Amino acid sequence: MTVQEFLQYSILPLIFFGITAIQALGLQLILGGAGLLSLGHAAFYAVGGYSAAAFTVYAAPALGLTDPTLLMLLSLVVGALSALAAGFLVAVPCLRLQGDYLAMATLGFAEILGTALKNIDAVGGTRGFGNIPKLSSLPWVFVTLALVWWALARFRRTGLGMAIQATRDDEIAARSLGISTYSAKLSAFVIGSAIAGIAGALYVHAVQFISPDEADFSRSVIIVLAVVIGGMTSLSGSVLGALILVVVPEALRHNDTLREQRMIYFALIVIFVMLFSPKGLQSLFMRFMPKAAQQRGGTR
Amino acid sequence: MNSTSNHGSSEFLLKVENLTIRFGGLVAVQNFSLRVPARQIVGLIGPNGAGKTTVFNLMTGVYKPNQGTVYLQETELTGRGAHVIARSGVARTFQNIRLFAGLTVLENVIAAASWQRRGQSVASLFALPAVALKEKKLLESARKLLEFVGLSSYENWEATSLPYGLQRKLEIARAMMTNPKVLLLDEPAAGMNPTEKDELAKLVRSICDVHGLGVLLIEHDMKFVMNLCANITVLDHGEVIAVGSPLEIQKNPKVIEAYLGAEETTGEGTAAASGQGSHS
Amino acid sequence: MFDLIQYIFDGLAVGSVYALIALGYSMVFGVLQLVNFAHGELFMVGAYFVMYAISLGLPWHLALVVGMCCVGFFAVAMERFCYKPLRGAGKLAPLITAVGLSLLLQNLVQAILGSNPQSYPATLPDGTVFGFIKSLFPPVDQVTLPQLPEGLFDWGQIVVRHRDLLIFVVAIAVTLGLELFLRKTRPGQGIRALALQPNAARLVGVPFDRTISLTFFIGAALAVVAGLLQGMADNQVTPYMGISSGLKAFAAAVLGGIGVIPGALLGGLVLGIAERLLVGYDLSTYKDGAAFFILILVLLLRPQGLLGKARMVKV
Repeated sequence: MTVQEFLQYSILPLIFFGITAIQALGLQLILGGAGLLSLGHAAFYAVGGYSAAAFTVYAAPALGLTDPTLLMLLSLVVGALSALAAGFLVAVPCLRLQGDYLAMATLGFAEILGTALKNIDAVGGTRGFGNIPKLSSLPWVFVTLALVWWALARFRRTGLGMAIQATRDDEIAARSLGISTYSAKLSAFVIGSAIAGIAGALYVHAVQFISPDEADFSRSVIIVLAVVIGGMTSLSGSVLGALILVVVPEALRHNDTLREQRMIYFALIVIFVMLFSPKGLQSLFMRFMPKAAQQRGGTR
Repeated sequence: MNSTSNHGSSEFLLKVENLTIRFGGLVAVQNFSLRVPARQIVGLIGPNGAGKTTVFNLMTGVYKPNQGTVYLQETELTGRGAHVIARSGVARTFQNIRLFAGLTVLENVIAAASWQRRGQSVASLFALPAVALKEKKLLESARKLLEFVGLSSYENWEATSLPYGLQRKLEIARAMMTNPKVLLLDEPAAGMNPTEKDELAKLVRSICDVHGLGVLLIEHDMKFVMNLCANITVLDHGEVIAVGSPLEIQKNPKVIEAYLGAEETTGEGTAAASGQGSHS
Repeated sequence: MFDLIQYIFDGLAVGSVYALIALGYSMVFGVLQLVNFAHGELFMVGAYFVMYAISLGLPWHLALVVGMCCVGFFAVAMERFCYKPLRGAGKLAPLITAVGLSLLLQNLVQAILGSNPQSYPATLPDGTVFGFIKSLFPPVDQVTLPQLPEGLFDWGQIVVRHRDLLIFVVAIAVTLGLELFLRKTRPGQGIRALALQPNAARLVGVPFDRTISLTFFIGAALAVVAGLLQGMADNQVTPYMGISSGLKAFAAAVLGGIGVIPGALLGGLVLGIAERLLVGYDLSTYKDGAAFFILILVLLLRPQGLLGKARMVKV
């Protein structure tokens, strides 16, 4: 295989990696940041993707927009805002629920959403939504990934970011310090959903197709896996998790048995991580870099 | 005794009247009243299960009282949300320490300023100059508070990896970051050795004198309470059985009975009955 | 009108299977406040297990008992090794572990046995397995309900399938038996005590770990019964039957009032009937969303469920 062939072949997996990483970063804010388990993250991704696609296919020609860069930027905004709105609709009632119920309610909403998408003929129903213009590409995906990563890293230090983390660690203590835990959780959920929507907008304009399956529970589980395997508490962990989930199957391309069994190993890693190394694989890697590991938690 | 007794000369910061709460058929707290003046330390004592922490929870909005009122100066706080009460100027610590485990020592303190930074998140995301100065000041005051409680050298530790006594001090620093008028301390000296307790006593004293706060504290260590508090309220079975100066409380037959009657707290009962303020 | 009644009867069978699975969710949630996400997979594993036991020549009742025991002990082991170490680690860790376990079981079965549906060796109405029950009923696939002498409805138009009736009767019997067990026996009372007041139950000598294990065992055993019934009714098993039925059964448990035994039965039946109605009235594309729509409606309007009592949240 020549270098050129390799690059050619790598583009799609890299796009998938970038998009999974953006999804995972969004969920990281909800799961690792606010401590809320959303089992319906893929639904917000699908909402973003469908809305962005509907925007470029139906709305943009009507508005007379043709510039591809502008269109892509606008569709990112549309994707983010629509997912944000969907996240808001789900979160407002569901955040009143405690832990496990919240997880099931988000799962339920995702299933309902998938069912609804299957029944909307304007976006293809069960057949899926095709013929979406190709607007995004590898650079788009990676620049967006970098921006989202950067923004989330800075977001942690802001007032809201601190409030979200405090709420995750101890709601009663957070409230006793004047933090409205409800708005903290709501913000985390809504922002995380919006990020998923951005990933959706990038996806539909790279692959030029989306089907209701994208809102599936199994897709949501993949994102949860990425966040948990890499290490819930860190952003780089989520990106690492996405890398493992996308690249490992690609690397196993020539080994069908291993490739088919990959979910078994991912599931085992998740259980292992939860039981023995709650900070995820990232913290295991950190152990091989003693200096970096000692930075946090050491005396200075 | 050398407790400062400017009792009556200053206005009341926190005024609690006739608080009552029932859990199912059980009356946990009944007709509880208490006042906390500025720059004064008030004690709340009583045998285990008397309802002391429940009183804190009622005052800070964790529970909503069935009856009664809570005022902070002119503001009524009765039945408001916990975060609203905190923003009005009532801060607290917890009996079972509740630090933010995922955050460092410094971050724990900064997290307490979150609500004061509302509406600035976008600006601080991009480090706009409008908020840069504010953020710097915030960091400074957080560091100052850490210095005040003696935790400067632990800034970057994970909060929960601190020794127990220091965790309690960090909770105090964190509570003070909300700029409270009244500070409620729930057993701040629990699990501390005598040296640490002396340091803590000094700290609480200067919270009052230097920072000008009113302090209400729950404590089982009678020597600690008697030394520090100008005024003590004794709670038993959810009801106030005595109010007064440490000397009055020590002599009060009802208090002695309440403590001696409760088997497990015999030791403390003796302390209540005979505890002398030996040092300050 | 006849359609409606027909659909309701049809829904009872699928609802009964949901109910049997829901009992396990309900009991485990009662004692640990944990949604055992992997519970649906126990149902699937149970169906496979019994199927293979029967194929190996075991009589169906023996196969069922062996299946209940093996999957029961597997569930106990699962709790010991995966959930117990996480007690006190918050709610998130056990829940994520449960999702991981669910994924693991589903993919393990798929890897070992393949993802194609496998046929059940025996079906309910004919076949040797339920031959003795069959002999109690007229030898047809469908029973017609006795004609009412007079009235508005012509019952002759409503047919109730044999197997549906049987599944329904089993579900009722199991629920009654479980309720009796929980009320009348010491271990059963231990489970109820743990669900009501964990600390007090420990103080009065309810063995905590053993009671938790028992709860997982019973829940898994009931899931195996459900697996057998479902397998026979559909005449096939797939590695994915656990996730879909499991999630719906969870919705049923919440609908009826999680932690309430008759609630699980009621919730399961209501859900089964609702689904059947949607299919009957040509809305089958909405079928899978229906369970979750009901789930969310219940969570928002009446979180304690149809038969549950509102509980005070401890701070």
